[in-house]
Amino acid sequence: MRAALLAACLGSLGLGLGVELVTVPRAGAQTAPAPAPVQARSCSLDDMLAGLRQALRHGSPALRRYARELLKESAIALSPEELRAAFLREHDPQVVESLGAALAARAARNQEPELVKVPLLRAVSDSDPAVRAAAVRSLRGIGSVEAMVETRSPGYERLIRDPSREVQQAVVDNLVSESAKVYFGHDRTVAEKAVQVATLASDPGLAARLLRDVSTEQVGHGAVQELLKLLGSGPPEVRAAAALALGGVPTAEAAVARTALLDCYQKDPETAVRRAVLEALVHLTMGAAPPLLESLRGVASALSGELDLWQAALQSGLQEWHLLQREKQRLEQQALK
Amino acid sequence: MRTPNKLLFLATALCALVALPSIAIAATANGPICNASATVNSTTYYGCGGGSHTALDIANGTCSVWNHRAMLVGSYHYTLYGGCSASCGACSAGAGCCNGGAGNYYVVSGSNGWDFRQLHSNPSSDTSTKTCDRCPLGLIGSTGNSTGAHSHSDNRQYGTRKSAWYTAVGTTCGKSGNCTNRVGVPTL
Repeated sequence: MRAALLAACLGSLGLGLGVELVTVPRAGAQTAPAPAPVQARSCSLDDMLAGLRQALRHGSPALRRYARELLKESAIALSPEELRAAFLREHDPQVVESLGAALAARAARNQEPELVKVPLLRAVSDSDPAVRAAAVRSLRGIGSVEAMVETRSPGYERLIRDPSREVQQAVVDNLVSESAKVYFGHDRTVAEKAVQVATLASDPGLAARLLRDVSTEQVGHGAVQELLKLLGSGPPEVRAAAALALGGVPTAEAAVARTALLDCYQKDPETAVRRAVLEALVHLTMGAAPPLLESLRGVASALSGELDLWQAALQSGLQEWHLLQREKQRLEQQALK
Repeated sequence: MRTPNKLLFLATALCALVALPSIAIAATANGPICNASATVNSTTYYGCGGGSHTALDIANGTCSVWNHRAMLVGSYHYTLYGGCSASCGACSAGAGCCNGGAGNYYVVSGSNGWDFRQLHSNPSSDTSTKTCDRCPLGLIGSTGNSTGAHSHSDNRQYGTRKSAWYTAVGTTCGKSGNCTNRVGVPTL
């Protein structure tokens, strides 16, 4: 019956899904049950949540995704008070995440940023770290940094200080996802927030991921200064990630980044950091990189092969950074054969 | 090649791929007007048989009545290029033809030179740069180089309009441009 209700809800949303797609097999059933008649014509939140729980427990990955998307798409038609109440009384992290995502989706559709306060409050106050992490994850895919600023809610700089690694991981994943999928790397606020959060992260791996995976193409002078500090201190993986981040800074900051990277290449004892510095210098200077790279030959003999690979990749004349990166990877693969 | 080298290379390659931030994605675009009368009027050619257009024009026969909605499904950042006063008629020299003929328009900037644009909005209280999911961007209007109220949407890479985003899902003239209907899968 629940599956039939879910099917009815999906159908009513015009998603074009057949009943058979959302029929959930029951564990231990001897024979396939006859399809229940689809009677529901309205989708109550309770029915949708029941369908969601069933999908999360027994459904295929596709069904789980559809059930979550159904709730998000339905959020615009549901009462925000009802959604908020359901979110607050829920304790299953997976359902908390789905309900929070529905609130966030409604906030994005109806321009109601106040709604993100509900999951954010839970993210800082719930006693269960899994629920706190779920509440943070629920904000993935919307302009959450902007919404936090607009509503003066606790931001990622506070959430990254959570003692739970799962919460910290959720913060980093949100920022990486928001930078790449909502703004395609073009947003200054998200980029600067990522740098700020990286400076506060206690886990070097998480800090490094933020610096490596969030585009810095729009960061301002203050964030570049933070990156320079990270380049000169901290664990090797953070220094290497800071180098890569400096490789993508805007033209106005390129000169200071270039000087710091060259200095780092001369002084840093770690090969991995130096390798990242080479990549950053190529990213920063592109067509002007060959003479710069040649000037570094002899500083670190272990990286002469790396210098050769970059020089060979630059010979291709490719003018887009991601294509140049792939060409270098191709040459690397060829060299290993 | 020895196995450890292979593993090392595989790990390096995977890390490098994960680190690539600028991989284009396929988004989903629904119609820009939440009205069953909204219809696709032009696709690859103006009026479906004229000169080259390579974009979707969608209208419902009204002007400054219906919201011009953000078409992309999911949250995206819509940058406004505004400043044009409302218009419901043909472009004439002066204010009505502002912004190089685009009128009030929005751009979602994707990766690798890709973008998605929605043109010709009339201004309303919703007209602003914003990050949202299918929200109102203004009203269906005729600002810029336009002969009547409609929404023009295109998907470009480095300024060149592409047609695959709507042909891939079978959007042709006469199809529904209602906001419940998918009209394309633009690359961003």
